[in-house]
Amino acid sequence: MTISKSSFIVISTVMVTILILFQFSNISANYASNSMQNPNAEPKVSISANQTLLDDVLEMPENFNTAIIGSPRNQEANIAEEWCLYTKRTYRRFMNLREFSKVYSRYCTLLIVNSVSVCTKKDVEILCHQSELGVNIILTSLPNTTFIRSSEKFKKLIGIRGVYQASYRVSGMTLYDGFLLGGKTTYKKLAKSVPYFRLRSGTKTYITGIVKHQKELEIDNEDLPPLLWRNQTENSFVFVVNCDFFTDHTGLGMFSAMLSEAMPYNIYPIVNAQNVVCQNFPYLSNENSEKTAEHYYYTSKALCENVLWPDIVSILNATEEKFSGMIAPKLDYSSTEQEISTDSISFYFDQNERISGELGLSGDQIGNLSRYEDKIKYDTEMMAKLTPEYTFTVFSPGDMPEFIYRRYLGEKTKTSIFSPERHSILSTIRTLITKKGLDTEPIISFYDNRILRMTTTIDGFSHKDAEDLYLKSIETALGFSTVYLDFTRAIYPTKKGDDWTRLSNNLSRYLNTYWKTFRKGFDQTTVSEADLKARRFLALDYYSKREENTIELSVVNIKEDASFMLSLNDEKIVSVKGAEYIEIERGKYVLNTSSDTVTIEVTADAIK
Amino acid sequence: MTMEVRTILELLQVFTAYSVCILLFPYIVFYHYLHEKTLAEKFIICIIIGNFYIMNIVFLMFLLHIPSKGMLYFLSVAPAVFAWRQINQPGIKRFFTILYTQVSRLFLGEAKIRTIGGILLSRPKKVLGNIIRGIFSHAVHHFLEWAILLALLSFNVWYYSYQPFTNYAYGTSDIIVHHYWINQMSQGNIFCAGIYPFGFHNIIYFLHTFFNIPTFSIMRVFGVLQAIYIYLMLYILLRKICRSRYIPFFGVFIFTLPHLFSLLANMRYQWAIPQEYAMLFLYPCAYFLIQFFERKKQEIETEKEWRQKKKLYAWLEQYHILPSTRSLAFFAMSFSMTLAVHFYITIIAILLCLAVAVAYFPVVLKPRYFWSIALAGILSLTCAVAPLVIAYLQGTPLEGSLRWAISVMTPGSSGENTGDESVDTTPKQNEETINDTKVETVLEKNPSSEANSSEDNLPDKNVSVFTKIKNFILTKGQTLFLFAKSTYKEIQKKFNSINNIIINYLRNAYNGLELSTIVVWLTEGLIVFTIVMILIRRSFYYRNLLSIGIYMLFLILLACAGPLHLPAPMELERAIIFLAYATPLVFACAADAIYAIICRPFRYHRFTEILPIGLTCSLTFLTVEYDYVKPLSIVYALQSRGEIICNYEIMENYPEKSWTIVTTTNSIQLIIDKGWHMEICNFLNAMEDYTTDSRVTIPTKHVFFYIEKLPLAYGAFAPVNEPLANTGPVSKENAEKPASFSGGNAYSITNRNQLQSRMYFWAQAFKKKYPQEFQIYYEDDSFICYRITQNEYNLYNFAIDYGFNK
Repeated sequence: MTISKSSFIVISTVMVTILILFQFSNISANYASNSMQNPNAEPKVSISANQTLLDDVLEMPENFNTAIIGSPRNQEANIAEEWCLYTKRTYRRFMNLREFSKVYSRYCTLLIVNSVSVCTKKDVEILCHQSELGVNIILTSLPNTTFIRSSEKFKKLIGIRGVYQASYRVSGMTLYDGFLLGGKTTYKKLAKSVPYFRLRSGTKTYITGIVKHQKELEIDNEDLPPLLWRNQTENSFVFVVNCDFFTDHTGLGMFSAMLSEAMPYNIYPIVNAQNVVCQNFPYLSNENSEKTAEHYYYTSKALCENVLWPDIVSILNATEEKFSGMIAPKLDYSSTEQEISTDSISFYFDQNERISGELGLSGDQIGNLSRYEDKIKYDTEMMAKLTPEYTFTVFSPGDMPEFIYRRYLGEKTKTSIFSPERHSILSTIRTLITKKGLDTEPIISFYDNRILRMTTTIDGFSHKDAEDLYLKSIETALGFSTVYLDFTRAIYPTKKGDDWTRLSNNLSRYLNTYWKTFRKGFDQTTVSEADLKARRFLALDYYSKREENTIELSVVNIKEDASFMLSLNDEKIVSVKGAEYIEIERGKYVLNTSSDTVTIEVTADAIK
Repeated sequence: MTMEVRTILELLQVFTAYSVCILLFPYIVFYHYLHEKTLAEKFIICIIIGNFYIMNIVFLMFLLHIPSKGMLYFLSVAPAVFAWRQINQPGIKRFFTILYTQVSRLFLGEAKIRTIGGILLSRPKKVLGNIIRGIFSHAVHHFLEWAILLALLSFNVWYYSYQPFTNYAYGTSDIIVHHYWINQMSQGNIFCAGIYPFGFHNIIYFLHTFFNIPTFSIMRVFGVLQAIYIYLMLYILLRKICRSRYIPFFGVFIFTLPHLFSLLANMRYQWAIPQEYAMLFLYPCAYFLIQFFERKKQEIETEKEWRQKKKLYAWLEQYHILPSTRSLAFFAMSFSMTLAVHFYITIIAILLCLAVAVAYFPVVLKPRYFWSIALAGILSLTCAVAPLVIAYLQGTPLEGSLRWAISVMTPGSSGENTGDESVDTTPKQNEETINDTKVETVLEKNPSSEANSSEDNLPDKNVSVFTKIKNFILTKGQTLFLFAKSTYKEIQKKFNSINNIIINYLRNAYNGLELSTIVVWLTEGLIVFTIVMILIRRSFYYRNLLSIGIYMLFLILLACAGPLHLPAPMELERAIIFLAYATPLVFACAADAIYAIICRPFRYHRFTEILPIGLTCSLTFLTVEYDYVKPLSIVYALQSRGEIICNYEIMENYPEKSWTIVTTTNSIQLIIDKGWHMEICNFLNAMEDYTTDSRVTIPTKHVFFYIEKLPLAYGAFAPVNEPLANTGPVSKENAEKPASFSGGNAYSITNRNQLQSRMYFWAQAFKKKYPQEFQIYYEDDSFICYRITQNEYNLYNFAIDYGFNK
C-alpha cells in the first residue's frame, strides 16, 4: 500500500495539530497561573464584629421572647444563650425561676430551664403557670427522681405516668427522624445511665434509649426509656430532656428542632457551609523519611506528593468537597537539616489552583512549647522568601496554645515597626480554625473585631456515635460543619491505626455516608468562603410572618445573600420568590435568598 | 384529579379493556370464520366466545391450583395464538412464505430493504384500508341506524353512570361481597365463601389481573358497561326477529326512555352484580336457537336437493362443521354462561328456550332437531356445572345463597323469601277473587243440575220409541249444549279472573294498572295472532313472534306464581326485572307484526321504514313533551363521597402498606391490596373505660381517620340525585349515649351516629394534643378525614380521655 504525498501531508498536519492542542492547554495554564497569589486575600474583610448582632444587641431587659434560667457558669444556659445569638432571638437570663416570675414580658414564648432551677414546689408552680399562659418550656435536664416522684403536678407537666427506675443503664439510643437533620439513627455505643420514665398518652418521643435484650424483657418500643420528648399541656408544649445533651453543643441543634416541633413553621438563619480542613497538609519538608520509608516505602515528600495528594483529591472529588489545606512547612523545628523544597511549593500551589482549593497555615509542630515561637519565625521567613506574593488569611493553630499565636494575629499597628509580630506571617490572618475541644467555646464567634473564629466539628478519620449526634445537631442548628483531617498521623505514624491506607479508607467511607444528606442541601466551601458566609450569618437579622399559606421573610442588616432553614409540619413549599430552595428532608428546606424579601407559598399535603 | 375525570378515565379504561378482550381478540382469532358475517352476528359471536373463553380459563387455572399472573397470561394468550394460527393458517403461511422469500432476496442483494418493506406491508396496508373503507361505507349506508342507536346508548350511559359520577361509592351492599370474593381470588382462593357461580367474578378478576386495573375501579363502572351490552343484546335479538330494520330501535327505546317500569325493574343495571351480568347471555340463547331452526331447515332442504342430485358429498365437503351446529354450539355456550354467572338467569333461559320450543312445535320434536338440541343442552349444563362439581369434590362447601336458591326451587320447601308487605297484600285480594269466582261457578251450575234432575224424574208413560229417541236426543243435546255453554262461560270467567289477578298483581312491575293491562292483553293478543298466522302461513317469522309471546306469558306466570298457586322459583322483585326486559320484545314484536301485515303489499320497501322511524320519533317527542321520561334511579347509603375520594387519593399518593384507615367496614375491600384498615368500633372500644395505662397503637407510618359529620343512615336509599340518607349531625348528646362496639348492627342508624359522634370528639381532643401532627386531610359538609404521620418505631398512643370514655 502506498501513501500519496497529499495524504502524507494531511496526516502530518493532523498529528501536529493534535499535539499542539493537547500541549497548548498545559502551556497556557502554566502561563496564566496565579497560584502564588491568594485570591481570598482580596477584597478585605467586609463584615467585622461590630457590625453583627451579638449579645449586646439581643440580650434585652424587657420585651424578650426567650427566658433562660441559669447562672453564667451554667453550661446548659450558656448553650441556650449561644443558640439565641444564632437564631437572633431576644433573650434574658435569670438566675432562677422566682426571679423570672417577677418580670413580665408579653413577648416571651419560650422558657429554657434546667434541673438546677427546678427544686421546689414553687418552681413547679411557676412552670405550670407559665405553661397555662402559653409559654413553651424546654427542660434541658431533669431534677432528681425523688423530687419528680413527690410532685404529681410536675409529672403531669412533663407527661410521665411514673418513674419506673431511678437509674437505668441504656446501651445506646435511637434518634427518630424528623427531629434533627440526617434521619433516624441508632447509636448502639452511646451508653448512658438515665432515669427510666413511663410516658402518658399525648406525648411525642424524639430520642429513646436502647435496652439490651428488649425482646426477652418484653418491652415495647413505646415503653423504652425516653430521653427527649414533648408533652402537650392545655396551652403549650413542654420539651423534656432526660440526658446530658446540653452539657456541650450537642444540644444546640436540638433547640432548633424543638422549636420547629412547637410551631407550624420555623425559619431561622444558617451558615450553610461545609468545610474540609486538611491540617498539616500540604507538608513541604522531607522529615521523618526513614520511618515513612519503613512504613510506606516512600520518603515523606514522595508520600505526600505521590500518595496523599492524589488520594485526598480523588476522595474530595468524589464527595464534591472543597479542599482547604493548612500548610505545614515543617513539623520538626528542632533540626535544620531538611529544608523546604521549592519544587514542593510550586507543585502544591499549582495543584491547589487547579482544584480551586485554598491554602492556609498550620500552627502545629512536634517539638515542645518553646518551638512554637521558632516555628512562626521560621515560617514567616521561609514563606516570605519562597512565596512572597501569597497572603495567608487562614490559620489553623492546631495544638498551638492561644497565648502564643495571639500576639502575632492581626495588624499590630501599636507595636514597633521593627518588632517580629508586626511582620509575622499571621498578621494577615482573618480566619481562625480552632480544634473542637473546649465545650464553652462557641462554634462561630469573633476572635476580635476583624478575625472570625470557627471551631472544627468532627475529626474526619473517626466517627463515633457521640460525634455523629454532635454533627447532626450542629448541622441542624447552623448548616455548618468543618471536618478536621490531621495529617501528622500519616506522616508521623505511631500506631497501626495511623496508616494512611486505613485513614483514607475511613475518610472516604465517612464522607460518602454521613454527609450525604447534608451535601444535598448545604454548600461545600473552602474556609474563606465559609468565613464570608459566617460573617453574613452573624450580621443578619430577619422577620417572618405568615398569612394563610404565604410566609413572608424579610432579611435586614446585610445586602448580600443569606441562607435559612425552613421547617414545615406536614406542609410543603409550592413556590418561592426571592430565594432558591432545596428540600433537604421531608418538610426541611434550605433557602438561599437573593433578595431582602422572600415570599414562600406553602401548601398542606391535603386534598383541595 | 377530580373524581369526575377519574370516573371518565376508569370508564374508558374498563370499556376498552373489556371490549378488546371480548370483541377484538375473538374477532382476530376467528377472523377467517367471521369476516363475511353481518356486523350484528360478528358482535354477538365475539361476545359469547370472548366471555366463555375468559370464564373457563380462569376456572381452569384455579381448579388446577395454579393461579398466578404469569399463568393467566399464558393460558389466555397461548391457546388463542394456537387457535388463531390453526384457523387463519393459509393467510399466516402465505405471509411467512413471502417473508422468507423477501429476506432471501435481501441477502442475495436482489432487492433493497425499502422494496421488501413495501411488499411485506402491502397486505397489512390493504387490510387496514379495507377496514377504514368498510367502516366509512358502513357508516354512510347505516347512518340513521347508528345515529339512533348511539343516541339511545348515550342516554343509557348518562342514566346508568349518574351514580358513579355523583356518589362515587358502590350503590348497593351486594357489590362489596362480590368485591371481597374477587379480592380473595387475587389471593389464590376461588369459592372463598363456598361454591357459587363465579363467571362474573372470573371476568372481573381477569380484567384486574391482566390489565392491572384496580378491582375497585372496575366494579365502580362495570355496571354501566354491562348495561350497554345488555341493551345491545336486546337490539340484536330484535334485529334477528323483526322484519323492519327500525322496529328494534323502537324496542330499545321502550326500555330506555319512557317511565314504563317500576324502579325495581331498572335500578340494578347501574351496579356491577352477577345477575345483571348474566342477562347479557340470555337473549343470545334465543338468538342462536332461532338461528339453529332456520339453518337446520335450510340444511335439510339443501341436503334433500343435493341428495336427489346424488351430489351430497360435494355439499358436505364445503363444511367442517355445519352452520346449524355452530349456532347450536353458540347456543350451548350462551346457556352455559347463564348458569356459570347466575342461576336465576338459567331459569329464565330455560323459560325462553321452552317458549321457542313451544313455538316451533312440532318441528322441535323431529329427531334431527330434538336430539341436537338435547345434546347441546346437556353439554352446556356439563360445561357450566363441571367447575362447581370439581370444586365440590375437592371439598369446597356450597355457598349460603346457593343453598337457599336450591331450597327455593325445590317444591314443598320453606325457603321462599317473599317481598314486602305491600306486595303481599295483592295475592290475598286475588285469592279472595278466585274464591268468589268458584262460588259463582257453583251457583251457575246449580240451575242446570236442578233442571236435569227434574227432567230425569218425569214419568216414562205413553211415549213412542221415536219420541223417546227424539226426546233423548233433544234432552242430551240440550244437556250437552248447556254443559258446553256453561264450560265456555266458566273458562271465560276463569280466564277473566286470572287476567284480572295478573293485571292487578303486575301493576307493581309497571307504572300503573293501565300499563300492566296493556302488556297482558298485548301478550295474549300476540300469541293468538301469531298462532292464527302460523296456521295460515307456516312461516318461521310468526313462530319467532310466537316464541316471544309465549316467553312473555311464561314470565307473567312466573311473576304471578304466588297468587296463581303455581310453584314460585323466584320472588316478584327479581321476576319484575326479567319481565321488564322482555316487555320491549313484546311491544316491538307486536309492532313488527302490524308492520309485516301493512307493508306486505309494498314488499317491505325501504320507504315503508318511515313507519317505525316515525313511531319511535313521535313517541320520543311525546315522552319528552309530557315529561314521561323515566326518573333517575336510587342509591343506597353505604359510604360517603368524601370517603371514596380519600381512598383514591391515599392509594395513589402513599406507599403501599404504609398507611391505615380507621373507618367503618365498607372501605376494607377497596383498599385491602394497598393499605390497612381498622374498624371504628375496635378503635373506640380499645380506649373505653380510659385509664393512663390504656393504649391504642396503629403500626403504620400514616394513619387516616374517616369521620362522618353527618353519619349515614346505612342501607337507606334515596334518589341518586339527592344527598345520601343520613341520621343528622354528630352531637355531644349522641356521644354521651352508650354505644355498641360489636354485632351486625354496630353501624346501623342510631349506633352509627353514636360511634361517629364519639370519633368526632376523640379527634377534637387528639387535635389538641398533637396540633402540628394531626392534620385535616380532607373535609366537606358531611365528612372529614384526619391524617397523622407517626414514627413507626415509636408509635403514638391514640388512647386518650376524650370526655366520653370514662
